[in-house]
Amino acid sequence: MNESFRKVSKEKYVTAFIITTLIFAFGLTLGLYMQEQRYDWANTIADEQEIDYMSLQLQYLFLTTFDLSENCAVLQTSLRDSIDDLSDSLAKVIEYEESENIKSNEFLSLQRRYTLDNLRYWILAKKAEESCGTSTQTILYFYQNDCEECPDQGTVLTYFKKILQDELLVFPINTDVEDEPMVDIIINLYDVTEHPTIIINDTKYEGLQRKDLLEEILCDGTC
Amino acid sequence: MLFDIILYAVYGTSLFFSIFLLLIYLDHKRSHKKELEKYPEVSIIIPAYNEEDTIKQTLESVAKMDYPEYSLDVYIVNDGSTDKTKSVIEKFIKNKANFSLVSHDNMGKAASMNKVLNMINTPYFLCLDADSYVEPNSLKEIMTHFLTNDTGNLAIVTPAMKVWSPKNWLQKIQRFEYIVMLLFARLASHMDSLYVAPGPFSVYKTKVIKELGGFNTTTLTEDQEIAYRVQEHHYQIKHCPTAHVYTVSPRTLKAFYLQRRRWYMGGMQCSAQYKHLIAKKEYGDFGVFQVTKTVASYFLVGIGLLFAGYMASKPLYEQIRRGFLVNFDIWPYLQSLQFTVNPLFINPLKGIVLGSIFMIGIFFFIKAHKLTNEKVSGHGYFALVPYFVAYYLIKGTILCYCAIQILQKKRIKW
Repeated sequence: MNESFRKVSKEKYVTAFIITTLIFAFGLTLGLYMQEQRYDWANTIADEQEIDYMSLQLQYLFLTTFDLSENCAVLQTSLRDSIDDLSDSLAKVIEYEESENIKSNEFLSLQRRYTLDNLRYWILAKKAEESCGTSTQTILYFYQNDCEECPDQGTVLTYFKKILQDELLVFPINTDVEDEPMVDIIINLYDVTEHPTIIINDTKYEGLQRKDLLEEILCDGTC
Repeated sequence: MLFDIILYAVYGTSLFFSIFLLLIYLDHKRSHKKELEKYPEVSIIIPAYNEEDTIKQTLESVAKMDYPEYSLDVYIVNDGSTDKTKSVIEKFIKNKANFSLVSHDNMGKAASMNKVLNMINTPYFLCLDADSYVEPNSLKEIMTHFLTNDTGNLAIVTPAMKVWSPKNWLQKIQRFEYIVMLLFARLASHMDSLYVAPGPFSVYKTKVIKELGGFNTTTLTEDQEIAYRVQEHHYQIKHCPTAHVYTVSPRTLKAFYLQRRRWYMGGMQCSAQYKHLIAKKEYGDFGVFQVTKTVASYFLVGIGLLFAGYMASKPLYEQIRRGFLVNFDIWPYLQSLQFTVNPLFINPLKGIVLGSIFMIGIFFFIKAHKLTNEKVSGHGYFALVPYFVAYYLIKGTILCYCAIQILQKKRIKW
C-alpha cells in the first residue's frame, strides 16, 4: 500500500516539548523568586519583631526597676501581640516549606530563628508572670519533624489556644534544629527524652496529652 | 520526593499532550465543501438484537435519507432477537424494494456484519446501529467527503456522532463528552490517526474490508479493531464533521458502566493486539502519537487516580483524626475561621502547569461546541458541574477497574 500519506509531525513534537519545558522553567523560576520573597517577607517581619522584643524587654525592665506593677497589663498585651505575630509569620513560612519539602539554608536558619524567638518570648513571659502575677498560662511544647504523635499534640494545643485565646501562650520548640546550643540547654533543663513533651507551669508531661487531661490542667475541666 | 517526581512527570506528560493537540488544532484547516456529482452504490447494514423500541425510528431515518434509492441497498439483520424486533422490521420493509431482512440465530454483531459483507457487491458499505438515527443529508455528506479525499488509500470515513435527545443528567453529561470527542476526531483525522470507526454510520470501502478479512468476531470492540487493522495496513481513515448521526446514550449508571466497560476492555485488547505499532515511525503520527498516547493514558489515568485519591483522602483522614482528638468540638475553629489567601504561599509551578492544562481543556471545550454548532447551554448548565468535577474521575475509575479485570484475565461478553 502507498504509505506516502504517513507523516510524523516532528516540528510539533519539538515545539510542544519546548513549550512544556518553558512552562516548567517559568514555574520553577517563579517558585524560586517567590521563595526569596517569602524569606524577605519573613525577615522583614522578624526585624520588626526584633524592635518589638527590645520594646518588651525595656517595658519589663522599666516596670521591675520602678515597681510599676499596675502597668503590667500593657506588657502582657504587647507580649501576646508579639507572639501572635510570630505564629502569623515565621511559623507559616516554616509550615509551608515543610509541606513542599523545601530544605534550603535559608529555611534552616529561619527554623532556628523561630525556635530562638519562641524561647526568648517564653523566658520573658515567665519573668513577666513572676513580676506581674498574671493568670496567663504558658506551655513549652517540644516536637520533632518525624514524630508521629506531634501533629496530634499540635491539634489539641491549637484547640485550647482557640478556646483560651489570650489566656494561653504556646511556645513550640523543634528539637531537630541543629547547631543551636540554646535548644540543647532547654532540653537538658527539662530532661526531654521523648516527643511530644509539654511543660505546663514547670511540670513535664511526656507523650500525647489528650483534650480531657489538658482541660483539667488548663481550666479545671470548665473550658 | 519520589511522590513529587511521579506527580510532576504526570503533570508534564499531560501538559505535553495538551500542547501538542493545541498545535495540531491551530494547524488544521477546515475542508471546503464540494457537491456530490455521482452517487456511488452503498449497502447499509443494520444489525439488530432486541431493538424493538428503537429499530423503527432508525429505519425511518434511513428511509428519509437524501440519497437515490437505486444506489442504496439496506440489509437489516435480525440477530436472533427474542422480542418483537423481527416483526417490526418485517412490517416496516413491506413494499420497500431496496430494504431486505436477513435473519439468523444470535451470532453477534461482527459475525452478522461479516455475513452481509459476503453478500454485497457495492463499492461502499456502512453499518448503522439499530439505536442510532441519521440526518437526511448525512450519507450524501459522508460520500462527498469520501470521494473528495480519496487518493487511493482511503478506506473508512467516520461520521460526527452526537447524543440523541438527552433527557436526564447522565445523558446531558455524555452530550458534552461526545461534542468534545468530535473535536478530537477532527484533529486525529487531520493527523491520519483515527483509531476507531464508530459503530453508527461509518462508511467503508468494501474491497479493502473484504481484503482485510472482514470484522473481528472475537474482540469486544470490532469498530476499534477494524480501525487499528486498517491503519496497520496503511489505509487512511478520515472524519466527516458534517455527517451527523445520533445515538441513544445510556440512561442509567449501570448501562453506562456496562457500555464503558466494553469500550475500555475492547480498547485495551486492541492496544495489546497492536502493541507492535507503539512509537513506530513508519505509521506516522498514528504510531508515534496516537497509539503511544492511548497506552500512556492508561498509566496516566491509573497514576492520576491513585494520586487524586491519596491527595483527597489524606486531608479528609487528617480532619477526621483531628476531630476525634477534640471530640469533634469544631465550634472554636469555626469561630476563628479566616479565608485569606497569601500569594506567597501558592506553589507557582503546580498552579501554572495545572492552570495551563485546564485553560487548554476549556479552550477545546468551547471550540468543540462552536465547531459542532452546539450551545454549551443547549440542555442547561447543570450538567457542566458533574462533567468537570466528577465525570472523568468516574470514567478513570471504570478504566482502572477494567485494567484490573484484564490483568486478572476475566472475560466479558458483548
